[in-house]
Amino acid sequence: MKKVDVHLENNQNYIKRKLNYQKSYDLVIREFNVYYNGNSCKAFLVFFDGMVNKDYINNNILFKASSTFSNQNNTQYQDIGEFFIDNIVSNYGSVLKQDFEEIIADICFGNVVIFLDHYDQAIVCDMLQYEHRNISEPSFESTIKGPQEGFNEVLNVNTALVRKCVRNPHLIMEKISIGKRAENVCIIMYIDNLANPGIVKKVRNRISQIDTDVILATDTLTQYIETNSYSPIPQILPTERPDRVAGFLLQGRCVILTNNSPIAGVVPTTAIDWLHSSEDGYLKVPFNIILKLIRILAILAAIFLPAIYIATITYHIGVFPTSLAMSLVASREIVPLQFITEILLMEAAFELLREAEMRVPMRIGPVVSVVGGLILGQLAVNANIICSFTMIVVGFSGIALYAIPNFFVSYGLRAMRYILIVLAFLNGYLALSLGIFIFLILIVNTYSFDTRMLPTFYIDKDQNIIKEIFASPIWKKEYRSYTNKAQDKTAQPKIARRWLFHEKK
Amino acid sequence: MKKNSNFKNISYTNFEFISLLIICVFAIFLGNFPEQIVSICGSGSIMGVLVVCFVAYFIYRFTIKKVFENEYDFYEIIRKTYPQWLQKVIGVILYLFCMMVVYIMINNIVINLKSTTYRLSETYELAIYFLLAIFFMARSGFNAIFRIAGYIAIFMVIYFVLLFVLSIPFLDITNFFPLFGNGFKNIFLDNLTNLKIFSSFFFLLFFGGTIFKGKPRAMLKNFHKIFGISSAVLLLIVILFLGSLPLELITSRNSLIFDISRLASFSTTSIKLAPAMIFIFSIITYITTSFIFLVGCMSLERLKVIKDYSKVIILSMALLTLSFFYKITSIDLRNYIHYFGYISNILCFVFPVITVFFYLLKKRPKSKKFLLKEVKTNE
Repeated sequence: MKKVDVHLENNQNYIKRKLNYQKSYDLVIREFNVYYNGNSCKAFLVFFDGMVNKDYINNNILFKASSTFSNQNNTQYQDIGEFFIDNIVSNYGSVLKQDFEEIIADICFGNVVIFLDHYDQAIVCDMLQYEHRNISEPSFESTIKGPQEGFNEVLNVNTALVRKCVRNPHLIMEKISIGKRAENVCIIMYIDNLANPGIVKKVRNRISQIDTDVILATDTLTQYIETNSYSPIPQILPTERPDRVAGFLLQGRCVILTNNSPIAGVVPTTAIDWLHSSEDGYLKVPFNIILKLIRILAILAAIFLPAIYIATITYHIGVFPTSLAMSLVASREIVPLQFITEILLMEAAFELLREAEMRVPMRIGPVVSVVGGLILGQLAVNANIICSFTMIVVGFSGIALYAIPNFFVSYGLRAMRYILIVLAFLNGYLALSLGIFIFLILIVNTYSFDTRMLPTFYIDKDQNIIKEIFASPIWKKEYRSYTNKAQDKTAQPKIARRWLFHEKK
Repeated sequence: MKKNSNFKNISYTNFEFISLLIICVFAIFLGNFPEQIVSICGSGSIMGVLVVCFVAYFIYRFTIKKVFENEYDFYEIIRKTYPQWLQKVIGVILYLFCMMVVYIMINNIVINLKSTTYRLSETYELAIYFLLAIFFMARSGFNAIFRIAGYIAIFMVIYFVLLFVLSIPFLDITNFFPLFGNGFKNIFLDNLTNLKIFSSFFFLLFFGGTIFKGKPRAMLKNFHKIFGISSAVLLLIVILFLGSLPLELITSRNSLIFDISRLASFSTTSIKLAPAMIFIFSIITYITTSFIFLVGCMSLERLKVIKDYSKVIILSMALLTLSFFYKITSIDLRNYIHYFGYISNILCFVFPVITVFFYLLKKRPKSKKFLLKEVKTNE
């Protein structure tokens, strides 16, 4: 383990060699002098350009160092390091380090490191400041009511956003470094006396035992820590809203944040979370219940509607009223394609449109959807390539996918839809029921950090799944969700609205 | 095999266990021929079902109370009652019985599906879906079955209650008279063959008493809940079936499975929705057959015929698959179910009572020792 040398030149050469000074254009090494104990002492600082606050370096370190020659201080210091920290680096985050490995890692993280001649330690100053995206509205969890802040790519900003919402001394933010070649920082957030210690321990263990070159974002990290990578069901809930993260933390869950990622991962999660949006807490109960019902219908329609349509038309046409059945058969007769080909073609076209719209520049986006969705669709119906009913069904189920509050959940459900379509074509309702059954087995066998994705069906006073899905008024939520396994199950006393007593009096 | 398929790791809530048993009761009941339930006692079938309910209740109340007094489950009772060679024989018999239940249940629904919807399909082509469901479920283990049952059962009960409500306007009260049909004596004797409707309670003995997180389950309370709900729904179905149809029509029906929904009422909606019942009945059958299949395999392990039950799953699946290549007609199936009814009654009702009786006999405190002990303490 290489230590800092007392000779400044040796240190400089080592740093230059280790950080490839000749090739790295953004590595800055600036030499300067400082007056200490009646002598001029050589020094240099090293940092990566664009990652630190340059004004601070110029105005504080370099300017103050040169001013030591004119304003001589009579205070006695133990060594030059102490003198430097006290008089020049008026920065809260300054530490002395000896180990070169640590020093180099700090430089890579955007710290400024100062080496002094005849001194065997380096001063590491936290002057991190780099350009980043401002806090803006969340892109995939936008709401009308509630805060309009979303995470950005800077970890400190994100943690501050959460801390702003949860002003609790028990809110812990554990830092874990991951990645061998490019180290990144990950934060595990939880409320110490609320979150289940078993789950926290498991999250910590899994993250700290990742042995890889690089983890760039939370989404990459989640792939390393989830149990079943092949399951289409997300085992870690992604969110980009600080208020939602605060809500989850106060429910007793754990949140994972990574530097360079605007997404936070919430564990444990269940299928009930698919139905909840960040807006739910801000809405009145009757409308909330209607919204939940719509979301349940949206999930069901998104997964099952095309499959049920294909099974009904192919095998069980009698289910429809006679007039509807007649018109369906008539509209199908002129279509030359096989039914399954028609459906899969439409689904592929829908996916194509969705992908195209995500990639094209924002101004052309609406043009793509108008041309693709309306004009091409209409032309396809007119040319008898597809049946108009098929277009309605595929279009409706496609829209239903976007009604699911969390956009990333729909990825998995979309994959399941194709399997069901093929099964429905094979043998109607019988094969479809097998598909549904396998889907159920899949959810039941998926665990999010030892918590079942499909929670146990309780209809109990404290553990009621109906209450979990359909929100009661906020003052009635006396217990935390039983699926979170929180240490403290009670969220508020039985009578939270105590003003009722006073008004009665 | 997954960890959760291990018997010792099975976890379920009371609600899930009750749900699973209700699903099993429905599935087995719906797999019966209406002729057997209705025609034997004529219009007095409501009385018949009541008789069956009472007999089943008393048998199981007695057995459960004794089985779960000190022990965890029925396997333990068998192990403590019979010699080792007999335990193994019982294990094999239980396994074969479970496989037979699975075979008959799948065959029943497949033959019904063939006669109503999939006329051109072969038996094995339809049976493959059920076998696949069993295979996937067996790989997931008991926990997954309990979890799914918790969600499905509630919708089923709601569905049957809705059917009943829908058919109330079409009920003809005169269909229930004379209440004692072919006579008081016939009701009691003939309906004993219908005891098999409640044969799923047999599986209660293997699971109900498992201790979960140190808490003993209130077995008798559970049993009463399960019994109450399933008996009420069975009565609803019979009233629905009898009340809304002329008796001549009922006796000519082949199976209850699809007729229940189709004949529940003569409203247009009910008839239109009949194919949709394939969903419900298929899922009920998937859950029940998978559960019974796993119980069969488990019996081999618990009664020490084999070391690990997961190893027989593939073999059992292969046997079941092969059995579906042998074609049977609906008349054959009717005969099978008829004979199977007797076996089922012996195994599910007579065997537990006899076993518990022998167990109590074996465990009875010997009077001499007791007296000697008394004397010693007195001294």
